[in-house]
Amino acid sequence: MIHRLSLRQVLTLGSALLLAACAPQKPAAEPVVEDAWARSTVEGQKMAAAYFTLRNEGETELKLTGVSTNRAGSASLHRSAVDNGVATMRPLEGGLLIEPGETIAFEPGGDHVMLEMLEKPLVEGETFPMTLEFAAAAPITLEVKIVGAGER
Amino acid sequence: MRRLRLALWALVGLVAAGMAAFIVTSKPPAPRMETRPADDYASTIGGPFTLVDSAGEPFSSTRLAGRPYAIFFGFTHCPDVCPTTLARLVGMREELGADSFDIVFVSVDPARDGPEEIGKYGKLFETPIIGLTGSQVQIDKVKKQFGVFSEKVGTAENYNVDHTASVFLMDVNGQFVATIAPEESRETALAKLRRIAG
Repeated sequence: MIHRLSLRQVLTLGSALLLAACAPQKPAAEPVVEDAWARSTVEGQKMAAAYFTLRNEGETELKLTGVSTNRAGSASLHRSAVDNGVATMRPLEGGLLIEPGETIAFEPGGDHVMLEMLEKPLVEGETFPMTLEFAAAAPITLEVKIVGAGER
Repeated sequence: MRRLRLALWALVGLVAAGMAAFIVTSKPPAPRMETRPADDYASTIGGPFTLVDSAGEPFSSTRLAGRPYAIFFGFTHCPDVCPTTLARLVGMREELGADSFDIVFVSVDPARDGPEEIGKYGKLFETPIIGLTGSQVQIDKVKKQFGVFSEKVGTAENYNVDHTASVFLMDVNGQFVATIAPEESRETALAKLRRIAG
């Protein structure tokens, strides 16, 4: 296995190392959000839920810490669960960790964004902006698509 | 000595005969215990009730006679579980046919859900849903008939209500057949709905 490196090999290796060193650092945590949606609501209904999938394409863990939107009086991370046959819903205290490469679904009957104090109904076909906040990554603003309440 | 040996052999024979008799007469293990209590439970679910419909008129359960129905208890301000459950029922009814069964939604939050609220909420799903509310006394009675639990969480104006998550399936005679829990697969839920569907 012992052989001498040619000058060309040394140069190639050297430039590769140099390139690697100069290349932009792989982001620590890289959130990718898809398929954001909410059900339509009727006049007078003050609460609704929004759903999406979130993937961490980075190399370190990602922490979803909060959510905001101007479409509702308040927005928060919530979790629905069935406990002894009873449907419960509680705030997701302390946010949510997403491992590198992991995809988590905010979906009906599970984790969701709880929208409270809706001023006006969510109308099918419209969209509204919502911002996800992270511990060590830039916030992401996405468009939430409003679908018919019975659609999915 | 010989007599003793004979007696011992006789004893061995008796024991063998006893064991054989035991093996022959003993029954296979008793069926699983849950069948009986489940039947008893089933016979206690449901019964006649009178609530208030979305027009503000009294609604008697006799109006459901002759139609199978899926009945679910929730509240219109419920952001996740209730619309999800109703959307699921709507989707499954589309698959089984528009006339296969009725969907009945009963509010466990009559303080906020009047006839108007329950009516508007039902229309959201763009398919017939029988929305019912009533006085607190009426609601408490029907909850008891179906073994439904509900409890207010929080004291603010935007309080939430924890409530029984299952859907109850009733046949054409108003007899309880099965429940559908949220965690059950669509296939399981559809199989149960086919048992009541017309």
